[in-house]
Amino acid sequence: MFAMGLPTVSPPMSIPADPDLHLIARCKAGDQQAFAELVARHRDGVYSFVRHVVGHEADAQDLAQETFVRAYAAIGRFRPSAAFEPWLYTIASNLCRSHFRKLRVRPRGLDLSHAVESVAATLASDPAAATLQRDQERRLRAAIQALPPEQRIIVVLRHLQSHSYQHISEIVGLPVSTVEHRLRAARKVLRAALEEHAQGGNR
Amino acid sequence: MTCEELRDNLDRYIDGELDERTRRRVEEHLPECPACARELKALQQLALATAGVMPKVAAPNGFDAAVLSRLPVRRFGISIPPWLTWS
Repeated sequence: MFAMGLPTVSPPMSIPADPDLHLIARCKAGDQQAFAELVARHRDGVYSFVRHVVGHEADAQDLAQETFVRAYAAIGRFRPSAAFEPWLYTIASNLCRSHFRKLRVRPRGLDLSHAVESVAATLASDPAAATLQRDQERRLRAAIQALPPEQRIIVVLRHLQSHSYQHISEIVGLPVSTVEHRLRAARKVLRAALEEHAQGGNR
Repeated sequence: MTCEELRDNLDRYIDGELDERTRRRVEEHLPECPACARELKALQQLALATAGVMPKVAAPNGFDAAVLSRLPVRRFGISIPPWLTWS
């Protein structure tokens, strides 16, 4: 897996406060173990992001792995003045866009068999309330997957990882005003989908 | 602040993106306007529900090994793609 016998890299004289930056400095010096540690630190975040954007488990695995492979190839160009995480999510986000371009259609249907149930539905003591909650969640997931990819990426960055508009703007390479506009447009669609269901249920 | 102005700021408000002064103006308006308060509640519920269906999930077993096996081997400072190695 790793090239054995690589020379041990001495830690720099002053270790950066951000552990990522310290690991990146070691990566640049040829230490693949440091890259393995970076993968371990960020794999769940990147996988979750891609998983919720593409909605398909096998595609998500491949794209999340490819994110790290690309990051490794480009690590020499990473500037220590930047934060690693947004840089990594920019790679992931670009790979997702490219994935959708290749599909040339709306992404595949949501892989509901692996959808994680929310705590709310699981904990609801009233079975009828739990069923309603699950039904609403299914509709919301479907509505999220039906959003245009450019909106969905922003919705996932905001709601999965609570990134600020500024961070999202840096990740997707768009002005803050565009990020905000797309987030609002997406929320209108999601809200309409839920309200339509609620009205339908009350008929 | 008018209702129209408030609604224009509501997404920024729930996302914590407003400056202090605008946030205060939003919070002054809300108790006086049940319609805007309802709008806020609906948006907050949507944001909560959206976050609720997007939990952080663990990468599948074997993820790290799969990534590392796809990395080019570096020898003498040169990256060699896996398909060019015979180890």
